Formats: sequence, C-alpha cells, structure tokens
Amino acid sequence: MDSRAARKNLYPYFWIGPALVTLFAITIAPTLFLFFTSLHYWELGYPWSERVFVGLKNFVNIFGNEQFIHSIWVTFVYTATAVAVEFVLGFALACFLARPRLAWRGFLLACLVIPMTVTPSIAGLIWRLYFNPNYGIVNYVVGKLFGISPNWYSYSLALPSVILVDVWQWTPFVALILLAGLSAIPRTPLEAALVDGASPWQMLRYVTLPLLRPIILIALLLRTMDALKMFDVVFALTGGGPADATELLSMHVYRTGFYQSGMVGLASAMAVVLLVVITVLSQLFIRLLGERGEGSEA
Amino acid sequence: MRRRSTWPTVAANLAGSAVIVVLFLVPFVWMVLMSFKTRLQTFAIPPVVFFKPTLENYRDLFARGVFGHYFVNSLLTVLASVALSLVIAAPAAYGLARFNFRRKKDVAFWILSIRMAPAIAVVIPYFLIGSLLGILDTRLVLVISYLSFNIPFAVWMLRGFIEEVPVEVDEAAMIDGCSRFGAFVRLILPLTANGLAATSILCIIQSWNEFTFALFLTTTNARTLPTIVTQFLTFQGVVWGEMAAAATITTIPVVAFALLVRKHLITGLTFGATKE
Repeated sequence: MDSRAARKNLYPYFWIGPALVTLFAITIAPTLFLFFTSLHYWELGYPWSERVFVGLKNFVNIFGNEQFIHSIWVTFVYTATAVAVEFVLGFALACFLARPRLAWRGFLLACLVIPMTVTPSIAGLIWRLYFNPNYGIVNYVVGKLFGISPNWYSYSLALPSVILVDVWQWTPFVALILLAGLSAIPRTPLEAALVDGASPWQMLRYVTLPLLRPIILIALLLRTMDALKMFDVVFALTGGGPADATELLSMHVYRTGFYQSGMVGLASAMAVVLLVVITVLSQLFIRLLGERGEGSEA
Repeated sequence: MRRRSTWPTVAANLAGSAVIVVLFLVPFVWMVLMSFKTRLQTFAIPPVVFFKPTLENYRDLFARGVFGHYFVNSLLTVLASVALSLVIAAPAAYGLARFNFRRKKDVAFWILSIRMAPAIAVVIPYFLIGSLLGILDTRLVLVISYLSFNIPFAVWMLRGFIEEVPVEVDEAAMIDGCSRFGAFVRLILPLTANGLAATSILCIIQSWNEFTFALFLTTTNARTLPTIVTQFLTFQGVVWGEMAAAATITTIPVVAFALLVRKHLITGLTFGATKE
C-alpha cells in the first residue's frame, strides 16, 4: 500500500518533471554559476582557469563605485518617471476607452496593440531617427506647435527621450490592463454612489480607485520590473550615452563586463544586485496573483 | 434612457480617438512609409506624406546580405524554440491543471517567477558556459536560451486553457479505455487547440523580439533580426530608408500576429492576472 501511495504522489512529476528538470538546468544552474562568478575576479579574454576568488569584494567595490551608483540613480529616475507617466496616461486612456458609446473601439484597441509588440530594439532605432534634431519628425512637430527645437541627443534630454519611447511602447499596455479592470468593476457600488449624490471626482477617488487597487498594483509592478531590466531600447536609441546620461543598470552591466572593459566578475556582482531586486518584486507580484485566486483553484 | 449620442459625446470620442491614433499608430505607420521613400523624400522638410513608393530601400537592404541571413536565423531559432517549449510545457501544464500534490502552488509560482528574471543576469553565465562548451554563435545556444522564458510562459498560459476543459472529459476517456496520456493527446490537446495556437503565437512574438541573448551569445553566424540595429549604429546618417525597411520587415510579422491574438495578449502579458 505504501509504495502505491508513494507512486501516486510521484505520478504528477511524470508530467511536470521534464519541464522542471529543463528549467533547473537552464535557469537555476546558470544563476548559481552567476553567484559563483560574482565572487571572482576574472577578465574577458583570459583563460577561465585564471580567475581569482575574491569573496564579496566585487560587491564592496560596486557600492563604492561612482559609475555604478550613477547607473542605479539613472535607472531609478527612468523607472519612476516612465511608470508614473504611463500610469497617468494609461488611466486616462482606459477611462476614455471604457466610455459606453464608442463605435470604433476595436480599431482603437488595435492601434494600442501595435506599439507594445514592435520589436523593442527596432523601436529604439526608429525613434532615434525621429529624435534627430535636424531631420526628425519629432522636432518638426514640436517646432510647428511650440516653435522650439530641442536637441534630443544632448546629455540632458537623452534620458527623457528614452523615457518617451518607453511611454510610447508601454502606455497602451497599462491602458489595456486598466480597461480590463474597469470593465470588471461591479456596477452596484457606482450606482449607489451616484444615488448618494457623489461628484464624478468623489466616485473616482472613493469607489473606482479602491476597487481597481489590485489591478493597478499588478500593472505598476509589471511595468516597474520591465523598466528596471530595460536594455534593448536604450541600446539602440542612445547606447547608454551621451557619456553616461542613459547608462541604465543593464547597460552598465554590459559596458562593464563585455563592451568597454571585460570585468566579468564585477559585472556579475551588479547583475546579482539586479536579480535580487527583480526577485523581490516578482514575489510581490506572485503574492498579488495568489490573492486574486489565480493558481489556487482548478 | 437615451440611446442616441449627443454631439459633445461624439466630439469627445473623436478627439480622444485622434489622440490615440496620432500618438500610437502614426509613429508606426510613419516608419512603414519611410521605408518606401527615396532619400530625398526621407529628409524633406516639411515631411512628405503622399509620394510614389519605391522599393529601392528593400533592394539595398537585401543587397547588404546579412539581412536575409538574419531573417532565416530568426525564423529557424524562433520556430525550433517555440516547438520545443510547447512539447515540454504542455504536459507540465496538464500536470498542474489536473493533479493535486504537495506544494503544487509553490511549484507553479516558481515556474512563473523564472519568467521574470532579468535577461542580463542570466546571459552572463550563458555566455561563459557557452564559450566553455564551444556553442556560442550557433542557433542551438539561442534555441536553448529562449526556452528559459518560453517554457515558463507556455506552462502558465496552457494551464489556464486546460483548466477550462471539464475534468469529466478525461474521466470519460479513461473509462472508455484510454490511458491518461492518450486522453491528453487525443482529447485535451485538440480541445485546447485555440489556446495552444494563442500560446505559441505569444511565444513566437517574445522570441522574435528577443535582443539581449542574441546580442551576447552570437556574433555573425547565428545573429537574429533584432540585432540588425548594431549594423546601423555606426553609419546612421545616410541609410534611414534602409533602416526603416529593415524595421518594417522585422516588425510586420509580430504586429500581425499580435493583432491576431489580441484577445489573449493582455491575459498573457499579465500572466493571467486579467481576463478580457
């Protein structure tokens, strides 16, 4: 009887086993290897056997390194600004799209799907042309509208240009999530508020937003995680420059470990920091998902 | 209740729609238009909207040689990785949908959390292991690395689709003498065909757009389309039309696919947190 019970317990693993083994081999094992390299000094181009064990020194070094601190700051500014703008715009768009008599909603939804599926590196490349101070369409439009011609390739405007591309690509995502949330809101509380004479602002503040809270958190978390990881758009749009103006964390890892210098050990330590931050956020996300009943019921 | 829209409503609808079209659709359409312009038209001020399209940029792009090569690489890598992912993920999704076992929830969430790991962190060990094994710059190394995000995603998506099929279907099949695996292959998979298609398309989009792995793990032989940007970074001044042509060919397939599975897009991208 015992062995049969054991077999019954093991049976599900015949089904999920292959996926678990594959994922272990291609994600967990490499991550352990990343921790291992982060504890070593090793430069690209040298034989792997030349590595020197340095303990936690790489971690001590990166937190004393101005460039690393700078890239954390840039990443923070980028993430906070992009996510905030996307949320505000996305919420406005969602409210607009939720209007009951909007005949061509399907077409508008299709328009929104396009930016978020465009290959990010390609989006970066194309927007670099659009931001060209002399021939770009962006300066033509802002020139006509406001009579200014900002230099988007300059140190101070490079980061805003990356943020703008992120806003272009991902505001639709936030909008569509919130739209799904809005259409799932029960009508009764809204009607009750209306009967009680609530103003539109009060309804938004005290009824809609609280009801939307979980879905808003999910949208913000997903966007935050993606923004923290940002690499491809900034690679194609600015290459991290000019100088270090747009050197986001991933870009800094790339420049440290593979591009400007080959300090792979140091770059690994930075990557571990990013991995830890993302893991904490993804655990939060998973907790939220669990609260929504996903993954618990069949 | 009035059913007819008043004109302020119509005006507001028009204004909002115009904003959406101008901000989100026009930049994409402008890129496509640019790919059909001559050099003179590309740099014309004020910008040209109506013009006689030319295929010059596309000819130049393919004459460059690498583009066709990258395209084939993208196609083969994506197809192989997505096919392999589904073969590994579908049984796992079935297992998670149909059985109860200890710590099942943790296992499911562990799989999901892998999907969110930053590529830049995983790619460093991949690069080192790949160079030790001598498989850098092959399509194989890309196929394997793309499994790392395709499998978790496919497991998570397919589980949702399988859970929508009543358990009675499996039970009836097994009473009729089917093995569980037989029921899975002959009934569950056909019944979730739409879900399988949507999942594969979403996997194809993600893999097709992948940049970080492709940049680090390949140099020339196995390069994929998103890395074509590195070809243009050095001499951007003169070849705008060609860049737009490359961008158009790279993005049109994914955009078309995305519009096709629009219903599942947000559910997929939020890992099932929203249902449309």
